[in-house]
Amino acid sequence: MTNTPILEIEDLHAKVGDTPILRGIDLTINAGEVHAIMGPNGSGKSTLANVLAGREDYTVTGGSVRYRGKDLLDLSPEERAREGVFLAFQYPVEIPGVSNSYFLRTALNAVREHRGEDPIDAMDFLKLLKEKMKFVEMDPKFQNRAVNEGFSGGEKKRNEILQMAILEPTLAILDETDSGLDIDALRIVAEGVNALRTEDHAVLCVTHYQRLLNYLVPDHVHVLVDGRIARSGDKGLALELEEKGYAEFDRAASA
Amino acid sequence: MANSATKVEELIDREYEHGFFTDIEADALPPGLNEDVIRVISAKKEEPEFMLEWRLKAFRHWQTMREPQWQNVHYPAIDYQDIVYYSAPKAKADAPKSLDEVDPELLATYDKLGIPLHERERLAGVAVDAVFDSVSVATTFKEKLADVGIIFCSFSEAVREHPELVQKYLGSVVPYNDNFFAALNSAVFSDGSFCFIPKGVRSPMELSTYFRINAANTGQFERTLIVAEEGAHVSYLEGCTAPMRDENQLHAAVVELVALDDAEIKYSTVQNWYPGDKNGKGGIYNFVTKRGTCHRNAKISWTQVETGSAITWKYPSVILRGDNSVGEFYSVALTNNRQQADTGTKMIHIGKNTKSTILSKGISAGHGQNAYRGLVKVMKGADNARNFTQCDSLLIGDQCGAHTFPYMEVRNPTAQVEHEATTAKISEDQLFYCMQRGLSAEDAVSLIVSGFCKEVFKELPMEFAVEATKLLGVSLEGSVG
Amino acid sequence: MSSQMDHQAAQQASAALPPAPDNLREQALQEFASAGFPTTSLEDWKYTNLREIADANLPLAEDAAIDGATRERLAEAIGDGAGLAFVNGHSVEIAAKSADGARLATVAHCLEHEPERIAAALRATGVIERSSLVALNSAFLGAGAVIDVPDDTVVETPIHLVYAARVSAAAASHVRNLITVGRNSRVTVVEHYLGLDDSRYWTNTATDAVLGDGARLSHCKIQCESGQAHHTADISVVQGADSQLHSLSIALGSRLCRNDIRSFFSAPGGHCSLDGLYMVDGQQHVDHHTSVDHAAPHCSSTELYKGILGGSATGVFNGKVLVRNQGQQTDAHQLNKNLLLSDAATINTKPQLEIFADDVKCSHGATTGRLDEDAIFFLRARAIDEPAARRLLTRAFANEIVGRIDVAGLRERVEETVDARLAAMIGSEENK
Repeated sequence: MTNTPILEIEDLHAKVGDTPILRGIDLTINAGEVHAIMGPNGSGKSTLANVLAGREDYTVTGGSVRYRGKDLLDLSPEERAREGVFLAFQYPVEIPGVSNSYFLRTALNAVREHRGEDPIDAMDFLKLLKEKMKFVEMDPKFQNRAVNEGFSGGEKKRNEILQMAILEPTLAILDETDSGLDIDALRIVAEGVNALRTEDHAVLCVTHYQRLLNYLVPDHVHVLVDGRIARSGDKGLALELEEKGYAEFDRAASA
Repeated sequence: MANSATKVEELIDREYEHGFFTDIEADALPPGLNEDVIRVISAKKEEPEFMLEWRLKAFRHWQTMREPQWQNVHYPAIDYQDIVYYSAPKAKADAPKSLDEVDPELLATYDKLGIPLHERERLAGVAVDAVFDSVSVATTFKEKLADVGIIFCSFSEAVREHPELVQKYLGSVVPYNDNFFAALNSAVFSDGSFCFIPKGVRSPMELSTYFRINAANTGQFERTLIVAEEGAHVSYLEGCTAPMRDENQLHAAVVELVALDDAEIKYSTVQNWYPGDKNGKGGIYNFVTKRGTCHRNAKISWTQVETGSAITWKYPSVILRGDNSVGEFYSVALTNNRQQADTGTKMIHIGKNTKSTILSKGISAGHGQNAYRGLVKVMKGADNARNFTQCDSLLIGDQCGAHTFPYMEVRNPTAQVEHEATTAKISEDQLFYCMQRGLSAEDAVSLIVSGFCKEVFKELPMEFAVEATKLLGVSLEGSVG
Repeated sequence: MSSQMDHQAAQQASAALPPAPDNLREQALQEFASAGFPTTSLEDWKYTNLREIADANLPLAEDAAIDGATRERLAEAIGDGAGLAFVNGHSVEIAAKSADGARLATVAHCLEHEPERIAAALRATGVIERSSLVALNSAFLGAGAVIDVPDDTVVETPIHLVYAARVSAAAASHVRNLITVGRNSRVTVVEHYLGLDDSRYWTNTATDAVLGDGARLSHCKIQCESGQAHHTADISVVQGADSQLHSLSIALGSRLCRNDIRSFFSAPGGHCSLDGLYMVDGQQHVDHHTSVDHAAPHCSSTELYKGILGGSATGVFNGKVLVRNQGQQTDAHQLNKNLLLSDAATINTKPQLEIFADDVKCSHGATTGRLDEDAIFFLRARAIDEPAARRLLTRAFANEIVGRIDVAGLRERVEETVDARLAAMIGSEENK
């Protein structure tokens, strides 16, 4: 592994409304690495994911985030997306009347245009879509259905992974993508992520449970408590948490 | 939320694309309306006596009528004596015998609007009647249509060449005394399109009329009459644009459709009259009466995309006279800035087993006010009549309004009438989701809006569907940021 | 104009009544004189024609002699609740429970002794725009009840207001009910309108209710007027913050009935549910106009009105939901369902949404038709014959509303009345 940093977070503070949620996060993710962020409910995991994607409900009150050397916080959500930051949503959104394939092609072309590439030809896109849908084991009928409309929870999550597979982001952020998934779906999510495990990509996986990490072995595990990283370690830390729970950190936080 | 609303608002500010003005010499009457003006119009058009009488009857009735007040739109009083009731591009000879005689300025205008009239560049598969101010300037593919017996020409020509058909059907669906604006139109209409599809004929191409208002202070009063004889089929398209002007201009058209037994008429409109500027200055007052009669097993389908005009007031309707006849209404109406729309439909079920479907999508942005007003009436004899109505409203920003006034009058116990309506806004979650996938806010709104309108757009003929989607994007530009 | 009443006669009749606070009678009569009776040229009165009453110039109904049977019917309506009873608008002594916690008095009593209670209630509902019939009602203020519930009071006993009519010659009575519910208080009010015989008369009633913050009012109106009567009613409620209104209207009687039910949210967090059932046949005409005015944010409203129409009856439903610019986060849902039992019955329905705010969830729906043929088939497949299946499903249709009456004892009584009415309606359709 080279040590080219993709994401460098320094002393990041953020709040929702008047409530401070993140209270000084430091984290560096290098190319080729998979990081897992774990922590109890309300520790700020989802906030971190959303702040990185540029959601406007969250206000950054301090610190910095550099993405491939650029100031990430300076970019609009769509610029971040075009630069290769992908958020797999905890609650994917329904868009009635807009077909999945049309949506994906529009998104892909927005990214390609940003990279100075030509828009993808309709036939080539269908080929790509077919291939990726096969990869995430999605029924081809989903390409013509409206984005996430009437999808089950598992189907929505699978759809997120499909989007990720097509957009091939540099930094994929998975926000509780494993919640509510059965074993099969979990395996597919992990395979999708593992496909990104190359020199050019990095993954930040936010999760409450260790379950997904059985399939997706992280290089680094961080425990987020009360808006700060309380402990970092390797995959062993995830197993330890699975066994002991977050009680130890709760005590530490309330002490 | 405030954020996405401002975004939406910023997106709406895009320039009206067809706002140019063609400097062309016109043969116009001075403003004002009296019986003499009507006689002059009729004389200029070399009309037979019955037409003049019909016009005068309508005018005399109109003078006894009052402008309707019930609609949910507001505008300063119109001075009907301040309007020019006839304006025609001055022709070199009397009337152009072929396109070569049409003023090149005019041809250029239509080229600029994307409606080439030249033989070599014509839209494939679409016959076009181009109406400039009050008169038809050219009709394409006439000969080809004549081969299968279809008459497609300007209304003036129909009055001269086919007076028996005009006399038989004119006013048979919208009588001269129907309403204030229809009466005014009946008195002063100067041109429009006429289509006659004989028994058993399926039109080999789409027929279309492209309306252009050019001259200032001119009212446009065109009249369209489409007759589909037994078993005939036709798909008809209508498009409209006007230059940007500070004054409001009146457009009071009448469209009559007659679908005899087993006939089918599909009528599609993309209305993009000049809507006025951001502050509501200028724009067209679009007060239109459109109605069709269905005989046994016949079908009439109205599809409209209304993005233009300062005020839109129209209710394309179907009288389901014959048993088993079918009426449909698919509508997208968008109001932005200070635009107002009061639009919908009337479905009058008279025959047995008649069916109607109403699908209305209203989009309000800026300070736009959008009202759906519809009537479903089931008469006593209309056994097993069915209606389904769905009205959805999408609100963009917190200064606009969406209103629904669905009237249902049912006099038959076997009828089944259903109405559903919903109102929603573009959610911040939807916007953020799209933006996280790399779409700009502008594209995200366009995408969500076109998804909202999809069920209506799929009813449009191909060429129009593309134009309509583009138009919505343009009309909404600046509404998000 | 034919829709003008004899103004001079009205003036004299109004002036003969005890004086009302704030020049109420004179002002109201003036207001009515300039507006006149509503006519069908008004959008809100498009389907309901009052010409017959307008032309009749009815005198005020006079006190009638009360026999034992009448007394019994009045007592039966009050049941084991608290309440007041009136015949032809004149108060009748009936033994009833006291309304623990609430102050209950007749309008006549208050006019004489506590006019400020009347003035206060009328001022509060002034924000709501009402029809000219309410002005006429104010001009003849005299019959009716005044109910005041102080802050933080739960009135457990339902309060029944019973209005019965029996006239020898056609006459009018104007009934006014004024209800004020204090902060965090709760009360149930039931209005009964009974025809004691077949006489012809006009009841013009108006109810004004003001709900304080956190107050709850359950209001039920049961209209069983004589088959010859005209009945017009306007119930207007101003809702404070987080207040709750449950309004239920059951309309079975009268030849012509018009109910206007209006709720106005003056502060955030309020909820109202408006429910109704109308069942008419013969030549009856019944019209419900509801209006919910979301003038404040975070309020919700739900509405379910159902109609069953037989004979040559006409039903009208107009449900208006207005969401003003301030009405963000409104949640408003409305549904009107109608069953037509006969060839000659007519229903005119218009659910109406007027929305000026963007962050709202609004929906409405209306259906008109017959019973679900699949359900009838299902019942027949389970050995129930067709007429019985139709009766059962029609009853179920009506019971969805009757079942929402939350006054014990009353629900059962209304159920019986509705069942009997339904049996008669279905019977007369089957015998055709």
